[in-house]
Amino acid sequence: MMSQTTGIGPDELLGAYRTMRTIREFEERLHREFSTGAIPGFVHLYAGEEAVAAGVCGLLTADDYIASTHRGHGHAIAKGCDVMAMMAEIYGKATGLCKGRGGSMHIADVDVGMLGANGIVGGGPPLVCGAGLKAKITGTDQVAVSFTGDGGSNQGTFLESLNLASVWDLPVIFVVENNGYAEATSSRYHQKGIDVAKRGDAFGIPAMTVDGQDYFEVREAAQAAIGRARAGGGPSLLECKTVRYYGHFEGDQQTYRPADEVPTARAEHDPLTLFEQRVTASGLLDAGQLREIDREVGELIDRSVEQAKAAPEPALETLTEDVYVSY
Amino acid sequence: MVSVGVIVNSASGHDVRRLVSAATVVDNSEKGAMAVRLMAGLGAAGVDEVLAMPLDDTVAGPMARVRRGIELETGAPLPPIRWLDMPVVGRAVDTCLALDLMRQAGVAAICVLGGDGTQRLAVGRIGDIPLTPLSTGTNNAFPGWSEATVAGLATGCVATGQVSREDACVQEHALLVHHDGRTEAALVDVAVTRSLFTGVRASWRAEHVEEVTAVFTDPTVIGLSAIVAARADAPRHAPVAARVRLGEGTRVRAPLAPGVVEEVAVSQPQYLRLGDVAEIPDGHGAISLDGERLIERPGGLGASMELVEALWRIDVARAMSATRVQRWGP
Repeated sequence: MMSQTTGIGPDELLGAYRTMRTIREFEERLHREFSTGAIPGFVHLYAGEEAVAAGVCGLLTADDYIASTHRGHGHAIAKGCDVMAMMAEIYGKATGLCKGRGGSMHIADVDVGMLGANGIVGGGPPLVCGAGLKAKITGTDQVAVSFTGDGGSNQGTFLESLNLASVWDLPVIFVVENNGYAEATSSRYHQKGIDVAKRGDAFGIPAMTVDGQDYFEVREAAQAAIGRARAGGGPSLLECKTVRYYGHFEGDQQTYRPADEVPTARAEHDPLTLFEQRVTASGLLDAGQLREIDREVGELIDRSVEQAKAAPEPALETLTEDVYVSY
Repeated sequence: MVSVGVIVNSASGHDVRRLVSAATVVDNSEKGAMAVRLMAGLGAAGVDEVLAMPLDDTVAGPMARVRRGIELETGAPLPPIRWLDMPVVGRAVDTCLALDLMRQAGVAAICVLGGDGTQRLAVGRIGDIPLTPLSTGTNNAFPGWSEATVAGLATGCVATGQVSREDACVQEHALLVHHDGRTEAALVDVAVTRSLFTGVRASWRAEHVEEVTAVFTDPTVIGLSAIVAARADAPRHAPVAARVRLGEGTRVRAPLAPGVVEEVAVSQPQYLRLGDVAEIPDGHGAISLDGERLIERPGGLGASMELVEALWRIDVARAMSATRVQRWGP
């Protein structure tokens, strides 16, 4: 049995805020930098969905695994990937987390359990089934978490993975970040029913739906799901209703969205604002502590961009390195 | 023209108790089938029309298929459905709006398929219109279980006047909680928790609860009110509620969630009578209504609660017994 949010201390709260603020600043800065043409490839921004990554990953250890999506910067930051190296990676530089080979959609750092962002929609769930199977066979208490969007939840890979995780009773949590859009298609058109969580029922996987903008709700749900998996209780499905502040990709004109959708969400349902209101009103933290984190994060992101821009491109002679890995 | 309102909460049934207890789910196909069975009963009793809240596709699809099957089998068309013209966002505001529109439309009765958290939304909105609550989960205390066809017959008999309200309906009470200028209702219980935040809403561990006030004490139900029922006697329709503190007094065992029975120390009960106002002391613990933490108290402000007459519920057994009496004489 898992506990409710009675025992969150100031350190954990400050850590959660730092994670969410770092994700927000990272993405807002990328939004501006991408428009200058300095960044190669595509970027898909995670701003607006911070409470999901922070609420789930904050309860994982470095030994646990996550598999991310094409919108993976937030997951990577929350799981502990180095922000400086992430920025360099997105700029395609030799100092990047993957030596500039991966870019935004393939950021990975196995050392912290981040199995990778993934350009394949619905690509993460089968990977965590593998990671979960490894944990089960080797008898560790590791858990594996996949992040998928509502669009990804329509992929065969997602449904096959639910079946596999259920059949093998794997220590896996399927987190669905339901932001209401599969690329440019509203979930009203691409999905039968409002809630993805109901798909768990068909596979005997306990599932629940939470407000993905509410850090405390996500955290409690994740605590229950992770604790259950770690204790041998098997897989679960956690659907987080959330809001994507930017387009599917940078440059997306978003003509398919009501004009007031994002401004309303930013004004009334922003995860960082909601978090701050609640922790300060309850006296757990004061606004000064949060402003100090804002300042530190701002400096970190500034520094990451400066260093990424100044870093060298991968040398031509390294082109064929790291193509194959010998185990 | 006799109209009956039907609300099916397609979003119910996916709370944390699916992960932390043995709570099961009534899936949306079954909810759709329940709605059809309900309508069959309503139609058989002479109801002309069903006024319904628009449904999620996952309920509407199975419902349409089951409806066609029943109509083909029996050769009798079910009452036509008039869908409310309203947006549906998959949250509690849908049920609230549907209740308001049904009341404005002058329906003779309203059936709500959902759990305690859905049924409580009827308080203050349904007025004198009788309610037939049907449970769609395993963690509910207020609605209880009833075969939907029979519930439809009972509701239809009341709606069409074949059975009088006096013979079929029972007065349900509620606790109104007033906090910081806001009022919320509970049909089952009000609890003060030790959680600062509403989190995943549900409270399923006694150690996280400071006190519970039960609108009624039914030893056959599950949830926080079961703790009170282990020490107090406040019969379901009596104008009295019972309040206990946890962590002190006699140790009892109570079923807090499906498959979860906990031992907990419970104080001597205090009783609230109709119209009594009881203070909830200052503190930061979130207040839970019908098993769901819904009110945060960041300023540490206290609250108050009062027991009130809430709504008229159609008691399916009483209504059906009354139809029998009318068929064969006293």
